[in-house]
Amino acid sequence: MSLPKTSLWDIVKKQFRFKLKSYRGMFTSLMMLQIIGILFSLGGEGGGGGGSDSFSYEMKYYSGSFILAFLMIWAFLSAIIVTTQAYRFDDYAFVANRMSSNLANILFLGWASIIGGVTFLLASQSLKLSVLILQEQDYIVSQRLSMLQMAEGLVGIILYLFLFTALGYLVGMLVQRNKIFIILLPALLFGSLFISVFFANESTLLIDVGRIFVKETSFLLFLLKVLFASTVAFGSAIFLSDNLEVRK
Amino acid sequence: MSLIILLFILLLAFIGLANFSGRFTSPRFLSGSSTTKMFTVYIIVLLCTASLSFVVPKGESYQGDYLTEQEMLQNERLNSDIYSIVESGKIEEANGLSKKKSWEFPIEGEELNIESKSSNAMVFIEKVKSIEDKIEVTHYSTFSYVDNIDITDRFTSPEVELIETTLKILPQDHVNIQLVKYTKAFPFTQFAEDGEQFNRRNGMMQGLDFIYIKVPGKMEVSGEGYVVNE
Repeated sequence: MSLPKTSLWDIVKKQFRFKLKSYRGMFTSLMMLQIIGILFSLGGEGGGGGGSDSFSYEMKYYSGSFILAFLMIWAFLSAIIVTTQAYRFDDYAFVANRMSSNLANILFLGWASIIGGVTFLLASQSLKLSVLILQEQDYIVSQRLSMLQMAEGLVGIILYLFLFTALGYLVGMLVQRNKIFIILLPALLFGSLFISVFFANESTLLIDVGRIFVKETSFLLFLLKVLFASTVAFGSAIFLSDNLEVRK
Repeated sequence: MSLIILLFILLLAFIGLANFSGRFTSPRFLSGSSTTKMFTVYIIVLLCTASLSFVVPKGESYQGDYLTEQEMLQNERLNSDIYSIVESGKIEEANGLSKKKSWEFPIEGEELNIESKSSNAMVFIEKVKSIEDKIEVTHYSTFSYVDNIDITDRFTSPEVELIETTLKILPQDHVNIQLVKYTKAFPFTQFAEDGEQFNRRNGMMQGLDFIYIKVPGKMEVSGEGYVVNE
């Protein structure tokens, strides 16, 4: 009598399918955050005005930036939630190891990023429709997206979300490894922000790191940067997860 | 229609919130069977509204032309030179000026007083020997734009009237522009070939207004205005 051999990839696929079903609630939070983002955006994201004796102007700008900001937070927090003990213990329903569990999580987060990116594109277009209908002003201008811009932008958003899930996953694993990171990481984040506010001209590490991605105008280089950073973050998280305590 | 959409969004938010609060208190926040249905409905709504945003282009029409970066730079250059050209009496040679309205008034005598109540129109007077018993008034202006949209046509000409020997230039109507702009979200402009992300310019300029008055050569002019050939 012999036991059937199962490959790592088969286990990962099974776990991924399981996670698609059991983590459906993640998409509810995505939906809610997008709706909140749309509602926030309806108030306008910026504007200005001015004038003289004979002339005055008021400008109001709209875009999907609020929705995107909410999505990034969603991606980051969702990845952290996936690393929590309760979710890791779900994987014990399968004959699996930490590697397969991590790979299935990465696949799921990648899938969630794609869903997030596509729904963002749709949500931002819905916001545009609301703006066009709700506003009754002299001039309503809408910048049209070319197909190339739409395609590059969509992949760009998915990559940003994937990067945030990678960061969230690493942060989650760090916290699981040692609870001191619950205090240490926010302290580093807010400390860095306070430094940049107090010393307005001083650049901080956090902002500089962000610029590496945000200022990149070459799509290929941006893709490589995100994939490299995500690989490093997920790789570190996998390494950290090997040292986590086992289920008793 | 707009109210219905808003109410629908609020309804979705309410359903989502109700579901969220239920899930949040349950032992498994990230699970549930009704979530798939709700998310599917959400996707369908998004698909419908997003499709509509492409189908309804009427709302995004605007009553004006977009000026390019080059056109705006050229207008700014012309604006800086135009005053000296008009001051030297060569208004016909000035580039970037558009003639908006003309008036012609018969006048008797050789005296003219000019009263201008327009705060932004500059008044220039040219004495022309070939003109007799009349004065010719022309309103010129340069381009005006807000956020790269040409709004020159929104500015009306001032009312001009001649009462005996006094030419009155009344103030122009106040122009108020309310602009709503839906811009592309950040990642859609990040990879723009023309560097749109960093070099986008939102030009705003109120054009110059000139009231150019041609009077008979022997006329004595007093009041507000600069005589270009005296």
